[in-house]
Amino acid sequence: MRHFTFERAKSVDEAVKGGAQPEAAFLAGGTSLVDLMKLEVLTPLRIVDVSRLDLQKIEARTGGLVLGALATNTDVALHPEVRRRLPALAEALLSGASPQLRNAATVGGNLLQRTRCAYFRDLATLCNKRTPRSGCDALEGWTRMHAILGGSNQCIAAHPSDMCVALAAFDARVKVRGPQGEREIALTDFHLLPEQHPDREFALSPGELVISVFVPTTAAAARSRYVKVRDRASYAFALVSCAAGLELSGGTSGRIIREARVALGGVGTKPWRSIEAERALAGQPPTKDSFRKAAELLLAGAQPRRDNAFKVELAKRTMVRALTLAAEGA
Amino acid sequence: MSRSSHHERGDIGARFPKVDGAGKADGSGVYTDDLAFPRMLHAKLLRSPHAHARILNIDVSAAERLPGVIATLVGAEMPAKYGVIPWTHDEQALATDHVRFIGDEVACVAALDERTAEEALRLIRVDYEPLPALLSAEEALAHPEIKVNEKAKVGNITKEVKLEFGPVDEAIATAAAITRERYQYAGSTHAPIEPHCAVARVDGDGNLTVWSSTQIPHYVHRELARVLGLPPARVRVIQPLLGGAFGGKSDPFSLEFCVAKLALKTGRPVKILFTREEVFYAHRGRHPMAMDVTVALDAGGRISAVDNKILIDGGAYASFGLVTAYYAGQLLTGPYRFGTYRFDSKRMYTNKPPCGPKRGHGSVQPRFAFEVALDEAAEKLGIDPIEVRRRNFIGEDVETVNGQRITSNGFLKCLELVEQASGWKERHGKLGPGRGLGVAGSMYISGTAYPVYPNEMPQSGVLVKLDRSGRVAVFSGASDIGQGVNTLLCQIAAEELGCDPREVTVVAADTDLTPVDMGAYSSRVTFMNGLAAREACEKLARKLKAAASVRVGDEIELELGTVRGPRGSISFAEACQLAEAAEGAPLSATGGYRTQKLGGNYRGGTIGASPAYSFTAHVAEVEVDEETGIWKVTRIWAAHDCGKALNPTLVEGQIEGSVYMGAAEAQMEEMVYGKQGLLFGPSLLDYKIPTSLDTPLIDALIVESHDPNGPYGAKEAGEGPLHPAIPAIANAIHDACGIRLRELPFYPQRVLQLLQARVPGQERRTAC
Amino acid sequence: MRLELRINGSVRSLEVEPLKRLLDVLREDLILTGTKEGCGEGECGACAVLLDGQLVNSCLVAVCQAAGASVVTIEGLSSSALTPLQRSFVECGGAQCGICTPGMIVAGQCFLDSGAAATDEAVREAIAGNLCRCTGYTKIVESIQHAARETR
Repeated sequence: MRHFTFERAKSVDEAVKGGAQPEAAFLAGGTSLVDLMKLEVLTPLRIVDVSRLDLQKIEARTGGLVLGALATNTDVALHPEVRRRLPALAEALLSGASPQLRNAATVGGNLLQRTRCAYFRDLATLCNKRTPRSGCDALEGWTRMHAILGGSNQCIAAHPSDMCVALAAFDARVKVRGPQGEREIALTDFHLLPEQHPDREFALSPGELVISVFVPTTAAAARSRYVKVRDRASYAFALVSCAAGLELSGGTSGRIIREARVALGGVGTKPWRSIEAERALAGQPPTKDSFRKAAELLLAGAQPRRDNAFKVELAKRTMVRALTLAAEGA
Repeated sequence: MSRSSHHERGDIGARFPKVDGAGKADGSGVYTDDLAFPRMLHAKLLRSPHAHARILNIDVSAAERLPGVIATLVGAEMPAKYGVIPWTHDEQALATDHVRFIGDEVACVAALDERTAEEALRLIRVDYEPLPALLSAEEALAHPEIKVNEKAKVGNITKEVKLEFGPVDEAIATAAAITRERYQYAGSTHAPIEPHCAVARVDGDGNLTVWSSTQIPHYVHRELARVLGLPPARVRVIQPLLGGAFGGKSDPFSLEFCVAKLALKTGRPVKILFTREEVFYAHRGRHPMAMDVTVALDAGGRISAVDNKILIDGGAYASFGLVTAYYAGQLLTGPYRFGTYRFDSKRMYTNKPPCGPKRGHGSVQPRFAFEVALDEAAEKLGIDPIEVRRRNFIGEDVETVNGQRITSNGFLKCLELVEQASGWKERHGKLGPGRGLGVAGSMYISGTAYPVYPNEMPQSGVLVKLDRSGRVAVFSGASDIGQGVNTLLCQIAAEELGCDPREVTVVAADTDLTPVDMGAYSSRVTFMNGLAAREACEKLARKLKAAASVRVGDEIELELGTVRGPRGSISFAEACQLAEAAEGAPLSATGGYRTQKLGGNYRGGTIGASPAYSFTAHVAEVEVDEETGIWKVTRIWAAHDCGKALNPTLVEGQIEGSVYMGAAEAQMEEMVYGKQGLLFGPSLLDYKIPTSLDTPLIDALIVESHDPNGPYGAKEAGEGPLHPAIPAIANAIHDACGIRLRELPFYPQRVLQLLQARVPGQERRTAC
Repeated sequence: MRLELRINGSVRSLEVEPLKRLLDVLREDLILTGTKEGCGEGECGACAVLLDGQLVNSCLVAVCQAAGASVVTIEGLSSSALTPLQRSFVECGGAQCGICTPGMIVAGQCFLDSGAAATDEAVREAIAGNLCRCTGYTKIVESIQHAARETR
């Protein structure tokens, strides 16, 4: 680990001030930062500890949930209102990491977590995310875990978060505070596509600190599920995952999808919401057939490689399953 | 007997708790990394960034100038080559002129702390001339002009073995059913939770002590002395508690040489603890193998021929590779009778971390291929998978087709147990879509008749000393690597001497204090060390009885701290005092395991020859999600013939751990390398090993066949039970959905691909 | 920085670098070597401890985050005698090589203290962040269930 300075922020304003300094990094749960600093993937010169700020609260309001940036993954996942009003989020969180990591990891940290692309983490390889313009060993490497959507000729690292997939599907908005004051960013705009600058991952300015996440709790959110396909049953990132929610109208025999919400994980360079697929589902009956058609639409632009070509079909099937479960309201 | 009453006793067959269990449970047990000494330095290794290169120059001067750096080390300071097998000394502690894989060690720095040592590594300048790298066995075969390792006499071949027993081609020509397929086994690694660690200290008289997380203290002792040019009598190797090994700590490693040399150079204690990444580079794991297998059955379903052409990817150094090339063929010839048999195995040097002996060394891969091929051939004849295995049972007191002597053999009993426990007859082929059962069997050695270096001395020795307090001290060179041999030594002492097993001290794996044992490999420890211990204890028991008879009469029974005779009883301590008085000297005795001459009468016939073989049968149950290819092995019934369970809890633990490790290889484990030879994701997140949620329910079923040669009839239990897990799972997936997996691991996408390629009507295998 | 930690019930004042891993502070500064390092990357759980009652991997906790907090390590679970859970591990064969055992026992104790029913599924979920390479988890699950029966 390289040398750095350390300060503990006593207020959000103090944190923002410290975070705006060059080469600064916020420390919350530490599960990502401490690890990446030990590997020397990240070498911040200034650590601003925000873990003691009063941002742990989870609030259930009419119309939505407010998740404090420092609420732990465990607290959010087990919150009764989260489970009732947005089951996909609880399921997504419980499918991520391991029990002890969920106890430490926070909402803000999860939003800001870096990719688990093995090339990003291994200093012996080339990575444009780690060192801009140095090259990308993943492009010609083992890509089984990599993205098939949203990649560029600079980077194909998959976004690692489960939580963000569920939040992306349900119109979550991130409240941040920076030197210029407070603003809200739609979760789907929060993460950036790699394009020519894979090192820029977030739509944040220097010093901007995540304060909370607001997620509207709609009828579709209440009827939502998260399905994750992975290599092992705990502590594994998704090969493919899908958050899906449906609002249905009509009786049991003639049900119609009034509104649909779909986002995929494990396949995109960012949490992959598809408005197009959602529109295609609206007005259709909640059948395998309409789910499959929407899935085909979503994956039409996939750019698979040799090792991850299987993700295209797997993503479609996973999406059909998530939508089916959501329709069943199980 | 109930479990609690077993705890009171500790003789043979009791569920006696591990003697080091409390220290493991309360955190007080001392592992190598828990050692610290005043003035201790921390060292770090610089590793090659090239898969294959010539070293032109190494400049450590800038590193030496960094404040906090105490010493540096390069290969030229200890250039002697070493290796665990005396015929293939092909490694250097630090490369002098040639690096052979990404991660090969080239220099070392000792500093006041780890961070300074790491910083110093960045200041070392190494000029390399990159060479073309050979990254697969096929490439290594195709390019003999590129030499990965000069030790190879021909091209890049570490070892080639071709053996034929009987007219194989003739038998194939007249077969009733044949399977001829290619099977591919991915490389996997041990991933012990404890990273390798070594600490060295030199005393004022120049005696060197090395503590190491090794499972072969004796070989480390030999090689340290040789490479460092020290008299062996000046070198002491101690193995503290060991946090998992599985074969991954059965070679001498560069860290042991480096801490020793740096301690000699600086006069200060030196420690190296590998990072998790370095554990992956140290490797010595399962060899990737490509196997072209032919299995031929006659009309009666008997195995008339087996032919196997095996290409083995060995990595940069030989390790145990000479043996691997033999084991891949020699250990397949039971528990079934082969009419004829042929194998041709080639182990290749490649520019990757070296492979070596992982639990079930050499034979896990061919066992997978063969047991799946056997299922396929039996299916063609409409014979039930358990029935075909029963029909081909080789029997007891027989010789295999390649001349290995089999004594006890409980395989039929194993088959019967798993058949009943799994409800095979009612459930196989009838579980409904996506669910299935599969079976497989196997055989493994209980130690090898062939010592790694030729010598006439015993392979294992034990010294037992009795104190007049009644305390028994057992000095044993054997390595307890978690399997529990120290506990068994207490039980053997209790059984033979009649002492309280809790009043036995075991001093183990310390080359100054304990007699030599070759190490924890080839499933030899309980068998050989157990026999040695029994012999020593028997000698002492005779002396105790003779001395005690003066007081309590003849016909003496020694039992749990009491010496009982027709004229009364005395305590064990009193008996010790009487015996010591009679002896006129302290009481002690030694025992040894002497190598038996065994094996076929041909070149290589002794390799794979064992004083006794264990046998195993598994039935696995799986669920396949046909939409996603995700599958789960829900339960494995594993029946294992261990001869005699000296401690059933420990035996079950070995069976359960083996089943887990085998299932893990089927499920998810693979060492993946990039184009330049870089290991992909050297971490426990990228290299996935199963969690508690991935591991099936395991039913460990013990079968006792009472081997005439083993200690109290015991045979091995630590490696054999791994083998059938993989083919049993493959065969179960076939039962569930009609597909045949021939390549490991069985990733969901491989399953999905086969499911998509299925022709209608093939959804389920027909029940036989 | 100077900070105070309540370690196994007693308050310790330490002068440490703020981002030093809690694991290193425990093992090096406090000589509590019962907490083991398996991977240093939060993947294996051998270094699991309780931080204010929550199970965490001490290799991913910067010591500054633990300032003022209470830390319980394997050494803090038992005083002179083994706890029922520790005894179960010894008697049921839950420890083979033993390197994962302290972390397993801390995770297991945390689960037992939660009062949840010790079903096979619940116990496996509770230790899903702790890797064991020896036992196939069978006897670990058994040990925790055995202790649950003994203590409840």
